[in-house]
Amino acid sequence: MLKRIMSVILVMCTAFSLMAGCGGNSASQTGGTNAAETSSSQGGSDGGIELVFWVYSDWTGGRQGELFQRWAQEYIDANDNLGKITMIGKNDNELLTGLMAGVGLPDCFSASFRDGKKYYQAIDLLDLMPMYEAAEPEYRDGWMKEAIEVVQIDGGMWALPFMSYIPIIFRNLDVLEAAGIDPAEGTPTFDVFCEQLEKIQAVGIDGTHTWAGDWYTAGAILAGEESLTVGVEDGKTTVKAEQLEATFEMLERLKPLTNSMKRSDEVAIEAFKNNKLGFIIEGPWNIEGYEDSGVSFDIIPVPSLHEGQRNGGMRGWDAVYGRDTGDEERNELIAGWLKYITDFERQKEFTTYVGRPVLRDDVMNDSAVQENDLARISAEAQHGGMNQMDFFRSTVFWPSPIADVSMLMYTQNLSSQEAAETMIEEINALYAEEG
Amino acid sequence: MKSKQAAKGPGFKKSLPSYLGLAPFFALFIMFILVPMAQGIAASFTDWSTRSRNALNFVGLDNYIYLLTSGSSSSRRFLASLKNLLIYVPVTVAIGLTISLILALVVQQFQKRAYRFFRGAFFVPTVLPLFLCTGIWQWFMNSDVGIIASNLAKIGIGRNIIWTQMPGYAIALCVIIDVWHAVGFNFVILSAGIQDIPKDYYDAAEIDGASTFQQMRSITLPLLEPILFFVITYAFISALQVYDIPWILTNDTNLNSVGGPGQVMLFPVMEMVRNIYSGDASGLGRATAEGVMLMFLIMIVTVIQFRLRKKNT
Repeated sequence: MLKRIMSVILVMCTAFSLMAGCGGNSASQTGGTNAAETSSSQGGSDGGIELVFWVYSDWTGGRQGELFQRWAQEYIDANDNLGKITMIGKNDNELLTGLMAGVGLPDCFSASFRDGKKYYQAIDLLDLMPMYEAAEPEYRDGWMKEAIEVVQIDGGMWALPFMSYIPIIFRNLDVLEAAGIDPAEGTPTFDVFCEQLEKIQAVGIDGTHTWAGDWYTAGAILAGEESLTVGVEDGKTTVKAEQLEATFEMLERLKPLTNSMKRSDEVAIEAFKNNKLGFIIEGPWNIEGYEDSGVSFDIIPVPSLHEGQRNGGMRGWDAVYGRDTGDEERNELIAGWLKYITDFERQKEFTTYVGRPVLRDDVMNDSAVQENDLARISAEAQHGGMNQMDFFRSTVFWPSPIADVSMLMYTQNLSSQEAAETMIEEINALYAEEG
Repeated sequence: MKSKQAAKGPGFKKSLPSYLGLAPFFALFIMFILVPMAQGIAASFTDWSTRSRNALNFVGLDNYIYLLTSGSSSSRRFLASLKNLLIYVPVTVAIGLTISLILALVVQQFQKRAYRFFRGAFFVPTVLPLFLCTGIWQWFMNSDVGIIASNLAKIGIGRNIIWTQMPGYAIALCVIIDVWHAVGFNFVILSAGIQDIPKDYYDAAEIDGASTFQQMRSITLPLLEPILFFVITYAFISALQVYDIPWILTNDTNLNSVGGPGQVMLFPVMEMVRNIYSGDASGLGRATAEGVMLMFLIMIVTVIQFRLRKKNT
């Protein structure tokens, strides 16, 4: 008898726990926080609407976290029907995988332009065009034209440009001094870069990490090739193999001048901080870490591949997106919040305090912004380089095969011409898959 | 009459508590294993993608044919992942189990205190989170400053190469990390199995003049067979689903970069994840097709193992 009772109780408990874990509608589901995520919240929840904002991890801490928390409080104070904004930090892959999973979606999120088309197709994004058209002229006219046009598809506006980034080179000034290199000379071209690496090697220090096998580094060289005819025709790339040869020749030239560290490895970062590496290519988000370490460094744009031509580095853009929750009041708050953090005042504050460039021309041309080294050099670097891909129009990250092909060149001793032809084939294969 | 009744077994009423006790397991099994499995198999015959939302079209075996024969980027990646798997699985299982068995046999000879110490020490890597294990070995295996890779480079192994980017070396690195992480787990199970062997057999063998090696060969290994079978089967199934270590080593904001340049350490589960989030046409359909093929591969390997065991016993 006891066994039967216990069995029945066990079955009921299991069934109840299963049902408790299921159900709920998408409007009430908010992104959860796991041990790997950071989060911050502003406001209490005294009956007001709670917005969940998935953001890059570095937006929840440090200088960026401070700004976003203050902005969130200001926006909550200005909107009586808004109770709370919870910001949950995630890294790039967590953002992509979490959003594409399609369940437990946030009300708004930050994400790369690179995945814009995927989000447009997979998620019910909030059309921000009504908000944009109703906004004051100063708000509308201050954008970088290219950036604000990219987010408009089929008469709608599906994101707001937030910030941009371009790879920059960090130079260890102590290592340069030991090698007899005057930082004021600059590193205008990759030829000069190679000469400086040879000088550093001559004093027994590693010049830089490997530049092959990684789209970020090899792609940074590629982006300096002005002759690239980027586009798609009949499902094939319009880039020509001969336009890629100079990049592969430079990778070949760099091979004996680099060590066996990858730029993203902790070991490379520590080597730079400990004056055992002369140059490291990084994103602007890493600058705080280097400043905190006490290493003596400065930053420069990625050199040009050819003298007198644009600098290297692939430009990445980040945006903020809203989700159409089906609730008009909530949607209005989402659109309002996204407008708030992308207006001139907030964007200027972001750039001057954090140093990251944004996609508003009115901000980047502001004299106060120009005083921040990182913002100024990033803005300078932004004039060169090229966009990583055709944002919002394609899901194909066409430069990515350079990671594979550059390693193939090393391991199979391909000539630069063979490597270039192989890369064209790989790019076309990616376009064929897009469908 | 009575024996007929006995032969039938206990009645339904008597067995009811047992069925009720098993019901939660079966409910969970059906809900979280069988149903998703069936849905996944069904989805593998459709053009499901992140852009299709709920509009799925039946495409028959198109996804399977595409992945195995089309020569496309996804096909080449998937076939490369299978090739890597065929190298990785036997190597990691053979090395891992050999080391675990040798350690279990050797440590068995130690006194209790020493035995307990080594048992704990060997288990430490198993309790470390995998990302930590991978991070530790990334430092060890940097050929410039890594303590192990730099010493290997001195004897001509992996000189001036990046282990995570070179064919052969990349899989070797995955094997090293996996073996280091898992050897403690297998060691503990094998040790427990050895402990269960009655001492009388060893006493009798000693009286007959058998050496330690002869005792291991003739007593320990044969009587350890059931445990060994379990450990080997589990090791194969685990190795066939390898994902964490190579993903952590090659993770990048660009999904096409997972598996490293030239797909040197790309495995099927990673390729499934890439297809899921690629946003390509039929991406999810292809991912589920890859999952189904991997599932059948695991089933075939497991069935072969059971058949071989049955044949030998």
